[in-house]
This record gives sequence, C-alpha cells and structure tokens, in this order.
Amino acid sequence: MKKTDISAEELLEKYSNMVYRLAYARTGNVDDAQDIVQEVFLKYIKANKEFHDEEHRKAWLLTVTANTGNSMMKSAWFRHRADFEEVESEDYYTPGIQENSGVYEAVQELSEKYRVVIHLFYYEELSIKEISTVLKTSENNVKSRLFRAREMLKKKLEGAEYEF
Amino acid sequence: MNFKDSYKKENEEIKPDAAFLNQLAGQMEREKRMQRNRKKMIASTGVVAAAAAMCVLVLHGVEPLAQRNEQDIQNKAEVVETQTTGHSFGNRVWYGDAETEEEMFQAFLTLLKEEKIEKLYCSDMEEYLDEDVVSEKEADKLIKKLCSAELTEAEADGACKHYMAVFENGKIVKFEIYGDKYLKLKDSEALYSL
Repeated sequence: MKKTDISAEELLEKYSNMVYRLAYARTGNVDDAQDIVQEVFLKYIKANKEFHDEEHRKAWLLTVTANTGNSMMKSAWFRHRADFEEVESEDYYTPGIQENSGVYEAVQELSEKYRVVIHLFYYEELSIKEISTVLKTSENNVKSRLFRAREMLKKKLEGAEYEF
Repeated sequence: MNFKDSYKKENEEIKPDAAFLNQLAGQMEREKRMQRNRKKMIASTGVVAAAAAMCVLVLHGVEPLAQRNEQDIQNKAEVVETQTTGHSFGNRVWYGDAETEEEMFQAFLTLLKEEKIEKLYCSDMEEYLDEDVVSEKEADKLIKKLCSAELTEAEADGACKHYMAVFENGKIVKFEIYGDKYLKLKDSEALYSL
C-alpha cells in the first residue's frame, strides 16, 4: 500500500481529527495545534512513504504528531507564553466542548508529557508498548507517566470518583 | 463513572476548523504536484547529465577531481541519491527515513562517522565557491566537535556561518554554525551546542 493511494481529501477526512486531537492535547491551543496538523500532513506528502496497512499509516501519523513542533514547544517564547496563559486562564476554555464533566479540562491542566500519555492511552487506546514506540521512550517511562498522571487526575477530580 | 468514556466523549467534540482543512487539502495537492514535477525534472536532468558526461569522457578523457565545479558535485549527488534510495537530491533528502529532528541529527552523525567527507565548504552566505573549501585539518577538527554536539534549549547566538558537507557517497548536508557554539541543520529547527 502506497501513501499516494489515498487522496489528500480522503486522508484528511480519515485522520485529521485524530492528528488534531493529539496536537491539541499537546499544545492546548487552537493555533499551535493547527500549525502542527499542517506540518504533519505536509511531512506526510513530502516523505512519500509506503505503508504496509492502515495501522502502519496511523502509527506513523501519531508518531510524527507526537514529535512535530518539539522545538517550538521548547522555545523560550513558547514556555513564557504558556506560563502567562496558565496564570491568566483560571477557567480553562476548550473550544468545541459544550457540556462537559470537567474531565477534559482536568487533563489539559496536566503538563504536556502527562497529557500526551493520557490521550494516547485512553483516547487512542494504544498499549504501553505502542505508546513507548510513538513517544520514542521506554515502557517504564510511559508506565510511570501514566501512574503519576492518574494520581494527579484523581486529586483534580476528587468527589466525582472516576474509575481509571 | 468511567474516566475513559468521559474523556472519549469530550474529545469527540474537539475538531479542526473546516476552512482550515480545505486550505490544507489545497496545500497538500499543490505539494504533490510540485513533487511530481521535481521527479520529472530530475529524471530528465539525469539523462542529460549522463549523456553530457559520456561526451566529456569521449572528447577529453576523465576530468581531474580538482577541476570539477560545484554544479558537477551537485549533479553527482543527485544521481547517487536517486540510484541508492530512490529519493531525489532536489528535495534535499539526505536523511533517509528520519521523521523527527532528533532522527535527522542521528542520521547526520551516522554520515559523519561512517562516510568520508570529500569537501567541506564554509561561507558567510548560502553560496559556495571553490575558495570556500575548508582545509582537511580544519574539517577534521570541526567533525570531532559536531560528533559531540548536544541538543540545547538555548537560542542561537553569534555570527552565522553556512556550511556544506559533500560526502564521498554523493550525499550533501547543509548546516549553520552560530558563533562557533551552536549547530543547526538545514531543514531542522533544533539547536545543538558544540
């Protein structure tokens, strides 16, 4: 299966939500998430890679999304802006969510490394091993991030008694 | 209540803007067209270059290495790159399957460690002439520094020098060095301290 077998429209229809949700989980910001989405899909075209199947294509897109824009997020400007926004936004605004239980907001309040692991585990339903491949880190590291993230979420969602 | 169900349900409402997706689809189609055109151009350049090379060989014999100009080196790189990996040099794809900046950097290190540099150019601008070729001694010194470069979160600081490394296997890597302290690969935004 070649990547060119699928048109740009088809590709976006199938995967844009997945890529955007992970990008948004990472950045917590519409503009930055869109920048990442754009970069990922243009990289996809430029790479002209062959995929064994849809799972392979999906894994490639998740990996690139999880790693694209790392330098942007590490930049002094981005960190400074993130700190500023954290102070400014007491009520976390999440575009698109009309009614919510506070779960998404609670996840967005975690730092990026925890948000991404939570998203890949609970939303994309990837295994620990798959997450470690996507994030290019050890399985132990993923396990420990997941454990800490759950502990923090339990505190944030105290009273609601969620099953994790 | 189940955390996973709630998180999934709320995520379903996070969607990219339709206008943004339309614009992106157009951009992707344009990029695809450009890629097809580049391939055609490189294929025709390859045939012309091969024919020209045959003529040169027949008329003048083999030209000494020192007399080859920059364009010849670039052509050689295009041909080798096309033959070995199926990628065109026109795309500056020297980093194979590397998908992330870190993988690109690792690919660069592998090239430095496993391949010999035929010529290393250093210039104040991104244009290279024969007189910009760095001496072997200086090139060796720089390669040692490059091999021990480490990712940094600092911001680029100092005068920028442009470098182009032409490897014996035909691959060409361009990079910048700021104030003799920081390395930045072309096509990458990551900064490495030297």
